[in-house]
Amino acid sequence: MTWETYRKEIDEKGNLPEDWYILGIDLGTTHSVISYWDNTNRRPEAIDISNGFGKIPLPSVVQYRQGEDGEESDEWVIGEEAYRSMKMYPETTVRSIKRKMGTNQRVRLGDRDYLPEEISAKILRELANHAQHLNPKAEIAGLVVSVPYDFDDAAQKATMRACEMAGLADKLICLIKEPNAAALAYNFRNNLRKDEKIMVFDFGGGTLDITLFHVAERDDARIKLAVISQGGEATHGGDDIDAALVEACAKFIEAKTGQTLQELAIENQVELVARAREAKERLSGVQRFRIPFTFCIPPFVEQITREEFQELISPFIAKTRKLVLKALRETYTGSLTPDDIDRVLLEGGSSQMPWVREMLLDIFSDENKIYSSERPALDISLGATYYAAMKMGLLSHPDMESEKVTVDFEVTVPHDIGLEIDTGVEKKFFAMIRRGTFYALAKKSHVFTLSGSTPEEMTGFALKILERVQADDPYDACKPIGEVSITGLPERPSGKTKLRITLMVEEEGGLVHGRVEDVGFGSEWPSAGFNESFAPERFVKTELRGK
Amino acid sequence: MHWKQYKNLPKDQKCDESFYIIGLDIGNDSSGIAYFNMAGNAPETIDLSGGYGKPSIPTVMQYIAETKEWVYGEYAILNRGVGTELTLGDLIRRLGHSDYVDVAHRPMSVVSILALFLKEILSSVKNINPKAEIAGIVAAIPAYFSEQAQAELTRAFKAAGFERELIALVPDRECVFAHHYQRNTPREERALLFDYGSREVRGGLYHIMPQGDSVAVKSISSLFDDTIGTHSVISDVCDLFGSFLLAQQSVKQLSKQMTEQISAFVYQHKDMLFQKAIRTKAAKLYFNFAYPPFQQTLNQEDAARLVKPYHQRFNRFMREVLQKNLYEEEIRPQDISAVLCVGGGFEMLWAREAVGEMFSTAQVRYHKNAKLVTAEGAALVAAQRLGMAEGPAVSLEDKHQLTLDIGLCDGGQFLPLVERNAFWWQKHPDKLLLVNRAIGDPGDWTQELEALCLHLARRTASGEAFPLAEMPLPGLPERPKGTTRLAVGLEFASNVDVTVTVRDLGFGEMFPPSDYEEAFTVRLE
Repeated sequence: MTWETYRKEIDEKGNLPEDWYILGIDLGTTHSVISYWDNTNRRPEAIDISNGFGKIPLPSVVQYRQGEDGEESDEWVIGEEAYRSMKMYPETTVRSIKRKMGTNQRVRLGDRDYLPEEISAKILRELANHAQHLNPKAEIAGLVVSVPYDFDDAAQKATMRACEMAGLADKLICLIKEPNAAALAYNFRNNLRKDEKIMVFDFGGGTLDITLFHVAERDDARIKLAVISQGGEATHGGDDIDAALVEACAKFIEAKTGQTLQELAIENQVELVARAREAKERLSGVQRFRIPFTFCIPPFVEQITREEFQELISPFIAKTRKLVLKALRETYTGSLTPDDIDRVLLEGGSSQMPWVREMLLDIFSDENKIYSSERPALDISLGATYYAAMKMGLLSHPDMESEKVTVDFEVTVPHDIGLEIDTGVEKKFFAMIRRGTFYALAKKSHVFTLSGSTPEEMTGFALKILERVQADDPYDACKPIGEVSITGLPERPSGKTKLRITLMVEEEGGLVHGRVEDVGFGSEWPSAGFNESFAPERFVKTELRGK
Repeated sequence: MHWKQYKNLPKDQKCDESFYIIGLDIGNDSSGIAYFNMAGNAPETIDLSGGYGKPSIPTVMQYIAETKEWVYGEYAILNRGVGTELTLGDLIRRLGHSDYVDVAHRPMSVVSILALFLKEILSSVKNINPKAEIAGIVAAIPAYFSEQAQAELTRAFKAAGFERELIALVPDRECVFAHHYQRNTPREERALLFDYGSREVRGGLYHIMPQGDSVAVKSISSLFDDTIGTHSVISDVCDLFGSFLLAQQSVKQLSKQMTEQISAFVYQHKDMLFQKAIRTKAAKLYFNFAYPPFQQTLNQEDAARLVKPYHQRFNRFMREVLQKNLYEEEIRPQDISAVLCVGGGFEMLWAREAVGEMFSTAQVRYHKNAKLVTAEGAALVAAQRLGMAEGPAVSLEDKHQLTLDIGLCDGGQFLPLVERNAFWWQKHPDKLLLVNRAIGDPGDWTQELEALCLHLARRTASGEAFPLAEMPLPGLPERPKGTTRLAVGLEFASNVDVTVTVRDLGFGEMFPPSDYEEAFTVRLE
């Protein structure tokens, strides 16, 4: 059954059957979380992946263990054990695969190459299995998966393919942007006031998402959250801090043993990554930490203070600061100053590092504005579950006080979507749908005139659909969404073929679709009826052929 | 603000998001904090782990002499064995004894160390909302907490900056039942509550009786076993892991630093031994802190061997909770309709399975995070008392718990043998009594002729003492004034009968202990 069928049945039954599970997944770079909709208490609950040992998130680590002598078969290990034993399987342990989503950088494990979405699918399957362990009769009725704001079209499509590979395609209601999910979860626990402007600073292992929300409407029955700015960076997270620490540790090792990072055995390189992460985590709680380099010959211990650590990552901190200021500057409604923001909400595990609060305090100059989520590691997954419950029609129950309020998200398209225009002199990005456009309005058409000097040029052309992630990105930095090859257009003289090209972005999943239509050229050249739609893909050229 | 002031505020002001109603579970092993979410009408836990998704943290403080820094919780545990740190645990157990600890050559009271811990975890409320104002705190306290321990806990709150008027100490069992009956409609039934803690497992059988808007929870049986707490289990795991290290390093004894590192390593890896995964494949442990580092494999048999004695004792304990009930009635597992399981011990799969196997016909309820039920329940009780939460109020009646002190009364003086809130099944240490008069022939050393007589009395909460029995002690060895030392013990034969024993302890080498011993059976009613 698809989620729509489940939804229909829920509508008919008037309730959610006990064995039906509605899920929200935060598929994170370093950790992933799954939550389910607890219909009795009418709120989402995170599922404890550690089997009860209290650490809810699952490390997003996938390990392939090739069958050895005496062992029956190959084995996939996902999560905590994979992370802890990565030194034993350094070549077949995959971390931070999310950063490769949307690319075709394959990972070789055993005798096969795997696409990033295939690895992500293993994590998704593991999470779904945990949900199904809650109840042997569990049936997944619907799920929402979160993606960073900065995920481009290809990465989102790869996430959807990962769901498909995990056997969840027909249950996937939609994707949700991580900061939107976090804001949704926070909204249900807190009384946001009308006209409040909230900055969600969602800082995870891989990404930093900075989203500004405006509480556009708020009364007893309704709350409307409008996204007024989105910023951050897809590759700016805790992993980058780990990398800086690895570099520093490599210098310690070189000074003590003479070995460079590249000269270290691969298992020791992996061990070093684990030590660097441990040092980062510990330095949030203690002023100084002694990193044990027991895997080196001779073994040694090196101390690092919190101050030294913060000095080490000062370029990273400076960049983070710039991203915050940029998000303020580039709001869709005009530039904002720190004074215009009523609260800054810290979300994501990395946001709990002491320097984050210090940096934000420096920008906002008011400690009364800096709020931390009660559960920074879980909110995205909880928010995704709220969204799933909303989509399944379960969040309008009149009996529950918290559910009397309906939540509207005025969500906007996060990036500029457009076409490549080749003027013959230079190539340019032509924006069709601008960032900040509400999804409901994210359908734009433009009529282009085709000119050329050969019959081939007049009967076919290639359409390149691009995405401009940052408002000030030049053409070269735009990311391709896909290429559509159009052939079989009616042969007409140059300048006599007019084509209406439409691009649209669907709210659920944020995927780009398009249409090419021959509109003719006055009565002299009536439309030949060419009218084809397309769904572009980054690595597969779409072909549209006229009759 | 104190909580009476908050209670009198108009409802809309009480709902202001800056007001926080807090529930605390300060356990001996780990602690949790929850607040009552007025928007969601439910308690919510606060993540204390610094963003790593572990809502409860170890109740541990650590002093690092080198940097003069105090570290708390998980950071303190993981930091063990790293340098010159002093790690202080067991803080709750030590309350009530005016205990001091040597910290960098200065005595520091347990109360002030606990105050540092409380300050840290309560600062998490300011962290989630910088404008937060605490309207009231309910701290769940264990059943064994003496009045002195309660007074010290209140002092610790005060030292942490939280006035007495803000704090209410509520029995942890009341918090658990309040949490349970907010979600489940109470009905007349027999329910069991097992609290699997670090030092002991506590079990109680209760008769549940809904009474209008409230629910009466009457204790029928109450026991504990201090040999199977998670602390003992973890200690065995430390020994096992330590034995691996000994074997690898070919040494006979582990250094203090190695022992501390093993302890931190066990904290991180113990879950592998007690969860489902080990049943399908062996766990590989990588001892990366050792030199040289090494790998050790543990399989299902290893884990089963470790768990077996605990499993057996826990089964015996559960049966005893049913058998040793107040009415000496035969109660079978199938007579129980609900079993509530709380406490970190239930995070071990075998413990959950043991309950499930024995009470297969009952509804066995585990919380998604067994360590946090009490904190959430405490937040709920706090909100109920402040008029902000719905759900039946729980009134706990425990005939196993004394509501008065029992002791020796001499004129205006009262020497308690058993203090209020103690359980009748508890073992109570003997009290030393130094007799400030002579015993024996007056011609030799004193004027007293009459035999010594002790007066057993009960003392009410208001401090009034009422006689219970006279216990004459004829035949005590003759001694000069101030040289008769007696050990006076009190043991409950049932919840209404006590046996008082008096033994002669002697006085140094000059007056060695005699065989003198007297026993008195006294009915309390």
